[in-house]
Amino acid sequence: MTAFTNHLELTVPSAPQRIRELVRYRQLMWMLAWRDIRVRYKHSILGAAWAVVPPAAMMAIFTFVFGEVVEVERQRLTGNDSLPYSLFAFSGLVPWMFFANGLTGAIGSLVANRPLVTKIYFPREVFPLSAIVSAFLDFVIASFVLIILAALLHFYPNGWHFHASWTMLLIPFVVLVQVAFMAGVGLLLSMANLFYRDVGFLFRSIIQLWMFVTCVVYQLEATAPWKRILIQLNPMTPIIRAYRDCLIHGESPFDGPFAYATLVSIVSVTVGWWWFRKREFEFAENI
Amino acid sequence: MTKSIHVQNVFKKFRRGERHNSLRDAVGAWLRLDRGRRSQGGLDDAEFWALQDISFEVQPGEAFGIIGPNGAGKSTILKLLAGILRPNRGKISIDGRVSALIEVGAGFHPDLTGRENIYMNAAILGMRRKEVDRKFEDIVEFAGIRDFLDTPIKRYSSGMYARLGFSVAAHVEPDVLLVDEVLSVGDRVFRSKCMDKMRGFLDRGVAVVYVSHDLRSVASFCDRAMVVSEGCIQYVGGAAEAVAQYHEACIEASMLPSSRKKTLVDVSPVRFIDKTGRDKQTFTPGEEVTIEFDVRYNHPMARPSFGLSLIRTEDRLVMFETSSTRMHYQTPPAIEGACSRVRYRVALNVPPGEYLIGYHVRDRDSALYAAMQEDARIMVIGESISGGVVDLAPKVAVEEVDPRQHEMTVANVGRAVAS
Repeated sequence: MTAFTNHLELTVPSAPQRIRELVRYRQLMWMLAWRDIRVRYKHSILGAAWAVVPPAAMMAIFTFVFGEVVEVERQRLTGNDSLPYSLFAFSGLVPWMFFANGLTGAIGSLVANRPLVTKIYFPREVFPLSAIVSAFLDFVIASFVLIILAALLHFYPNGWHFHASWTMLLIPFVVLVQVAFMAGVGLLLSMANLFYRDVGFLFRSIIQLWMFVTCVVYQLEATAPWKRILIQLNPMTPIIRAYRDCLIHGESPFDGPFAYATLVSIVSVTVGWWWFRKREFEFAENI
Repeated sequence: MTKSIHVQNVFKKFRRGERHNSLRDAVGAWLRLDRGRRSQGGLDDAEFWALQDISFEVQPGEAFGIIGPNGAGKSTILKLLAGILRPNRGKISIDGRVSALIEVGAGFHPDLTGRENIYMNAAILGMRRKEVDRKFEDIVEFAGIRDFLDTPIKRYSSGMYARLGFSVAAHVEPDVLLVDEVLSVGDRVFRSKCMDKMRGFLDRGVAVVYVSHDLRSVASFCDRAMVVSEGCIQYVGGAAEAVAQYHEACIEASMLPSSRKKTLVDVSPVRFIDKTGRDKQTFTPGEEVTIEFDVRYNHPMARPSFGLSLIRTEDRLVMFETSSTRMHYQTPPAIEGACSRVRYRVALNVPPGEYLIGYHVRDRDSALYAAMQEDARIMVIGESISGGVVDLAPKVAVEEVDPRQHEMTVANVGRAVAS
């Protein structure tokens, strides 16, 4: 009967013990994510189509602002004369929205599930991670639309052609790097928000700024050279670039900055998880 | 002997109020980074011990009750056992899978259907999907919500909600089951179903820790029990003894600020004396008890009358009420300053439970009245043949009869109904 015998003691469980526990509760992670999505779209007419609307709306706004209002040269924005700006922006906005929504969800996740945190025991990592999973499912839907858009623009008579390249096979690796970074930051900030609610409020403002210091709606080369170094210190810049390299440019995403982003992701998930586990037992009494 | 639960000298402290009241405090704490860890053993001003030096063990197949007043630390103990909280000092070891019924349906989402919530809640309790698939029918059957499986549970009644929550948790197949006051919801039938389910767990060697204010269920269900008060153990031992102990402690506490009426009469606290002349508060069903109180008259009374009532605590049902007048007992007139001792001898022909004793003094001529309503309580513990509210002291006889005679009787009854 005892499929999982655990010997619970005062000591913090070791990392392998914890991983076994997380594996045991992986279904819960999916179910919490699924619940989020069910509940999110349950009373809406468009349903899961809402996953696509926010990035599409942002794309339309930036296309309008840069194309019609201030009329920035396309070459300068995208680094490619023929590449439609809408596709460029959408290819950045889809992974960015995943990042922003996933983290926003993760940060509030512990506080939002207060009854579960205070009444039932299971690894608390499940909450921020499931928020990321739920944003990931939106990301998958939006990605399909992105690919369809790329294919459609292929037939649009403006000189740009979509080439399905082998580099598209590298996208899952880029996703993995991004998820690791999000998991680390999400674990840390969800915990911080539990102790100080200020974190959640601050984050909502910071995430706006963060988007503009990441090359989501413009290319890195559009900025002054000395600023590029600063912008590349932000690991999201190489990650967003890597998506474009794989999907649009058909180039290998592996370069110095991306290696740096990978390293930051690994450090972030390790430190985030370690710290989270260390403080976890204080959650129920401080929430 | 292997132990399912072993708690050794556990201390747990809590903070009064919030962790940091201002950003200044927060920054201050940040600078002294690990302050919390250093003061692990001691207390600062804002802290208090929620539990002190708690030790007990529970064997497989044993039901262990925890009783005590509100805020005594009962739920904190369960949360420590469940792994939600960690002790500041001491050691807790638990062998096997723990299922905690601390709040039924804690993981329910009102917008999801019953079916969806079963899967959701089961996952929260650590069940695998295949396991849930296998037990799904049983869960639905036990909760009795088959017709509402695809209804969002926000439309459920609170009873249905609780039944579903208990049902999911009861199918986890734990090695250690923690139950906190969850059976108080739901009707009588469901409650007894839950009790049967928990007895089934015990038979299979599950260790059950049961926290409840329903002393009767603790006394009947648990093997051993612990009384906690203000975070300390007052008593650990047999369940019936623990219940009696707690009961007596409650009475002492409630007697202290006894509101003696300084108006018509002064009445002494009531005493309960058993056949052997001993004072006690706990009796067995059918036992004879003498209820005694002294009255000092502050006013003259021409025809004093003394009343007595027995009220069930649980639902305030008046089980029995009488007075000396009703019993045609003649009492002499009383002058101011005189004293009387009133003695009622009753047979406690009531089922087990907690009862309040009300008594009053009244003058039949001048409508002067003083009631000592629900001042005292007694506990009845043990087996009773009565499943209702009174014991009619029945005699039963079963004998064999001629089948033809039986048919005649039936026919006669039939005719009687028809006519």
